[in-house]
Amino acid sequence: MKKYLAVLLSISMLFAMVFSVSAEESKKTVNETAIMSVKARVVNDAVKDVLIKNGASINDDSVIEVLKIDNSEDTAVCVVNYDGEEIVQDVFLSYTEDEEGNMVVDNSLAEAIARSTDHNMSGSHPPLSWDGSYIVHATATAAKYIDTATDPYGWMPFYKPYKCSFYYVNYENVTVNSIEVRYITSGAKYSYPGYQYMGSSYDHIVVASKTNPVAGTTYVGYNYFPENFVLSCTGTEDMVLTFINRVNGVTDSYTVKLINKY
Amino acid sequence: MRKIWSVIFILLFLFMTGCRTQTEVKDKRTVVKEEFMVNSFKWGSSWEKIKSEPQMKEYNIIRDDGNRFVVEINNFEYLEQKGKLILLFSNSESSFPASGLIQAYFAYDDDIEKTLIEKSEEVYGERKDFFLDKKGIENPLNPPAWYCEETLEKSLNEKEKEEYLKKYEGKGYDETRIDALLRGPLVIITVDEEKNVIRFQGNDAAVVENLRK
Repeated sequence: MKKYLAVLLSISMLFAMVFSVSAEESKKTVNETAIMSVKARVVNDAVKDVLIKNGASINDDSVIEVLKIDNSEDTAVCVVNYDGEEIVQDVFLSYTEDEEGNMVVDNSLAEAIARSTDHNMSGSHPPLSWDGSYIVHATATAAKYIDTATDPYGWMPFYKPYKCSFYYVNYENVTVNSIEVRYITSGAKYSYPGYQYMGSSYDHIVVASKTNPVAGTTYVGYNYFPENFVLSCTGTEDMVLTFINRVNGVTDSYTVKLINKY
Repeated sequence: MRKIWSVIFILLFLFMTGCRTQTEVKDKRTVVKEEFMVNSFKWGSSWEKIKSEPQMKEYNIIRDDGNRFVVEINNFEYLEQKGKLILLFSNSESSFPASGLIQAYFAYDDDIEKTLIEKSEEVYGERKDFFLDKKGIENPLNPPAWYCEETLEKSLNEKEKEEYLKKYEGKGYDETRIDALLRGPLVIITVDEEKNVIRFQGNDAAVVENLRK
């Protein structure tokens, strides 16, 4: 049974935060640099309801951020409101009880925020018509942003790619020595949250890989995107999946364009 | 003597006329068939060239940021159905890898979707979930789409291909990635039935048009 212990900390300036959870007598340092930052208006209501019930004040101009804790994979959620020159940040840290009864950080809220604005694209290799002995299915995930002020329908979306995952199916009992999938994005840089063209391009690569992978198991790689800009990917070269599969001791490398990237 | 000079002048005149005609014919060529263009607009065309067309009466500029230029045209007719046309231009002369018209969207009301898809199938056939590349190998398309037969690798001659590949020098693209860029159809048309939008991706057609300017 999950228990949520929300710790609400309101601050007026942006500092590194240190707080304690009295039940656990532990200290956590929340990194001030967000690994994901989205306008509240593009986050789904279910996620916002959880935050509001725990005391957050959210309007369409609020920004919801995911922050890393210490150097771990644990996360906290921060709701940022701008009131003139004042910046108010409410930080939420969720806990849940693990199987041994210990209180551990619950990252499900951060994951739900990412999912609410995620854009998933998929590619597979090799096609069954080529080989038929195995196939790797990969998913590339980017957080999608819309400049709702000027483009409410999202004809020109922006992206922060951050995740890549794959699994494979083994049809003829081949030996899959290793699989590496690279989710490569090239795009024009736009500032975030202002969506101003920055006059240059940027490449971002997320890698998921595994030696001796197990068929049917999903392997995931993350490379979180920088905080203060997004990519416009309306060219042709911009999102691809590169597969590097080593099967029966032979390496095959192939790249698939992600056509349904919108 | 006078007759000889007359013949020479007539021959010269015919030669000059023939050259101009050939140039005009060359300018009218397009890299894809008409059905893979939007309102017969050449991919890679500038907004300045397109906006004087008759259907471009009511338009709004959604974005103009020095890199992308997006304009929406109300009451546009596509396959005899009314909707909104959105044209996306890459509007810097140094845009990578192509400038001019690169994409278009046709946004429609839900009640005409069935008719639109039926009419599209009359023009393009069934949507396919793969296209055949130069080697005859099936390349998956996800989601299924209509696409033109022309690809970069089929359309570009050796000199054009060389010029195209120069754009990627020093960018760290490996061979398989360049291969993927060359392999795809010049125009891909998809239907987003959730958002009621038909999407025309003509980026690669714009690349070819740019190379031939």
